[in-house]
Amino acid sequence: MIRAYWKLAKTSFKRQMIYRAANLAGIATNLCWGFFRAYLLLAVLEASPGVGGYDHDSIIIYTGFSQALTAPLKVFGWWDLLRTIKSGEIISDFCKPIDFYGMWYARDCGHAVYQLAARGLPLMLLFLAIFRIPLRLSASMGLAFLISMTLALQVSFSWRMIYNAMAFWTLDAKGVAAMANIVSLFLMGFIIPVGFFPPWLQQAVQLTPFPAMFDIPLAILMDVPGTEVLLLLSRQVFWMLILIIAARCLLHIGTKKVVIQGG
Amino acid sequence: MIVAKDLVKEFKIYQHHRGAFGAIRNMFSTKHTIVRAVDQISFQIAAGELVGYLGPNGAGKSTTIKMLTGILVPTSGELTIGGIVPWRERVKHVRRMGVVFGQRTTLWWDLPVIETMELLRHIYKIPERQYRRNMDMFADLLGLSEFLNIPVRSLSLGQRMRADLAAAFLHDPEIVFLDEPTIGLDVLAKERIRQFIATINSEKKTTVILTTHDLGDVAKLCRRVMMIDRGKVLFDGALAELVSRFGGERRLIVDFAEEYDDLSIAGARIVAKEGRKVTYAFHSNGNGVAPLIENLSRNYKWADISLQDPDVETTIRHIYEQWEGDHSSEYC
Amino acid sequence: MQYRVSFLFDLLANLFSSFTDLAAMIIIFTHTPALKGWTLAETAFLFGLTNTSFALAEMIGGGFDVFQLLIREGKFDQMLVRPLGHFFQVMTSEFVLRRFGRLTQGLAIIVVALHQILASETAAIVVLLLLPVIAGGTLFYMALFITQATTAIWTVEGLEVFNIITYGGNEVLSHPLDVFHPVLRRFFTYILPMAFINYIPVAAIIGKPLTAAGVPPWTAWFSPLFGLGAFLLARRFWDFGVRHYQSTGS
Repeated sequence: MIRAYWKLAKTSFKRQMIYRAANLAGIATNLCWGFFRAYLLLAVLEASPGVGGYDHDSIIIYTGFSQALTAPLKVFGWWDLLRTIKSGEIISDFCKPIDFYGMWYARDCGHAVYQLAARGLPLMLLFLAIFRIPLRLSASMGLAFLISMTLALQVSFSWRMIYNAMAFWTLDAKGVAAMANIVSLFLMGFIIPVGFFPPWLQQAVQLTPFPAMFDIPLAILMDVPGTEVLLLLSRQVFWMLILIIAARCLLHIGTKKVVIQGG
Repeated sequence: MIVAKDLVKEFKIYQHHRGAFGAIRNMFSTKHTIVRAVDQISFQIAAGELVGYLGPNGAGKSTTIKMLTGILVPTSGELTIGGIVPWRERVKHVRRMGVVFGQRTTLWWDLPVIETMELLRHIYKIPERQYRRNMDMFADLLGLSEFLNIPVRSLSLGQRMRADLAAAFLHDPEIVFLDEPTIGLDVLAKERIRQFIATINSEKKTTVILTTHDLGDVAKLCRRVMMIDRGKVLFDGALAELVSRFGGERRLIVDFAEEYDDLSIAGARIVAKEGRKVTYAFHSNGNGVAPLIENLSRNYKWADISLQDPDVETTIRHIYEQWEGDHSSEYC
Repeated sequence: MQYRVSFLFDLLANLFSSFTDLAAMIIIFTHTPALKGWTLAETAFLFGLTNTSFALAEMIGGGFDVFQLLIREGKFDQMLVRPLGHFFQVMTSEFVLRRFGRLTQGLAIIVVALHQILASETAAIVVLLLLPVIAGGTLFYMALFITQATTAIWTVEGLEVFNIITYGGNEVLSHPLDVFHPVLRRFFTYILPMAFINYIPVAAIIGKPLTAAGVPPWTAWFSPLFGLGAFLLARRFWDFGVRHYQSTGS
């Protein structure tokens, strides 16, 4: 069965390769957008040195990282599941001898791996090279970062499944999902670093799953002194489990509704 | 293979609220009316049969098919397919089942056809040899190799349908559900697909359930038909029987050798007259055509006689029209 | 009327997305009273102006945003055989009302910011001055949308790069030009003079030095003309593109 998921991920990866021009355009867009953001945040840093615990180098790493993750985290929203529920295509998926959640996850992985390799990594390296930032990452921190990144993608995926599953209950799921997406973007620190948030908001955000999608791998990448890697990773694992269970429950109930009610 | 007993499927139709908070109210709404889409149908289908499942739109066809595929759970009644209750052991059931929904494709839209085939090989765990053998067979019967490396989005409708059929039969399913597999295709493409279905059914003994509005499909493929209307099975039997029972009148065309004033004969009526060529219509439920010809020969001199049996198309149109009439009279 | 509910949520989502941008800006100014000499109110003024123009352009020229779809679905072919101007037909083919959220928000921010910056008597006059500025900005953004749509006549591959100047331009203009790299400043003043959409007129109105743009303050009076000029150029490009249009044939 593992081979089926592996093949699914590979097929999804291949599918991305077709859109090379779009991918190049994406890199160009992320690069320019990153410049805009970087100069803005550097100006903030100049006006208020040490803001949010950031310095020149970490601002660039933050910007590069956020641009590198736009595609893998699907920050402009992801509606594939929602669309298949609405169009009824979901029925064809029920006719396959494969776990529904697992199938979508495998596809998401294929997409994410391609976007990380072909778009994220080059972007990150470009930012580091252009601003001449040395990235010192020990082997153990590198490993921790990879684990954290994998967890972050899984948390993000489950969250996206949750807001897509709304389509089982309402025809207007797209708007609700779009709102959920925007809120999560802001709270995960994608638009502005979590370190910049006012203290009360920072504390509140720590109680949500959103930092586990973006802020935690970022913290590990920047290797902030005093970072308790194990604690951060276990927080990610905690949220991953919660969201997987929530997403699977919603899918289960939603599927049941389709099965009883015919959609 | 399939045993269905007193199958019922009811749907709750919830009252739909409008407005900004309607969406939220809809989630909790309990007001509903119950619609019975499938009403106590029972049937048995043996392994290797090719059954046409017919009925007008909204008759309950697709609800039945969805129950058979394990997508819908019936409200009551029993259903086993090869000893399995579809929705209870869904994965086990769908593993030996194939489906084609003619209106939508299950192929990966922007990738070449072969990618979907390879993917299905892994999802259904098809052994390499079986996969090769089937792919060769499909290359033969469906001309699959012509467009195996073309992205699905660039295929013609006929090619796409052929690819979808191949995808459904790839894992040698025991049972296949085909929902309008020839919809929107040209005559040649239809013919090719019918040929394929007939061949697979006879060679691999695959049980095929075919729903279609194309009566050509039925005439070419199905020996047995089930007709359903408003949730009830109204006919289940051989196609030939359907025609003889509902087909209405047969026609007898007689070319007379001489001019006659009165051409009427007992047990038949004249429906057309063109010079010496006269068409009679008669019901075949009696003793067949023999008494009529005897009668004719006794009273007249004729040059030529030909017999026309009602075809499937006319028969089924006839049945639908009749039902339509029944419904409208009930509403009055 | 199922769409009405969808529309409401769409509108809310749209409002939310510009709201998060605004929230980010407010958060930035909790760390510093001014960014390169610009206060929160002054920056918000810039933010309000560019977003108002952007939203208006998206609402009026929404058809250009979906032009690729019009070509693919053969709807543009239908338009070409109708006895009406193709430019007008495409423009009006889609009225993106959900951008109304961004528009009202932009206008509200302008009003609040103006109230903070200027005495009320001056503010009233400034509002009058702003109308041609907003019109110019709207025309400028429409010019960008039209150019992007016209390019789709030849190729749709990689057309997303246009987002850099449309959405990216709006992002840059939402902040004082002073914060950006000199190359970016020059680009947005001399090559693609989008600085005239808000930065130059605003700096002139509230008396900021225009060193970042490197143009004298009196040029602000010509701001609307840049928008009009860009629009007319884009319009000619459109006509040129349509003359070279070859239907997809499928």
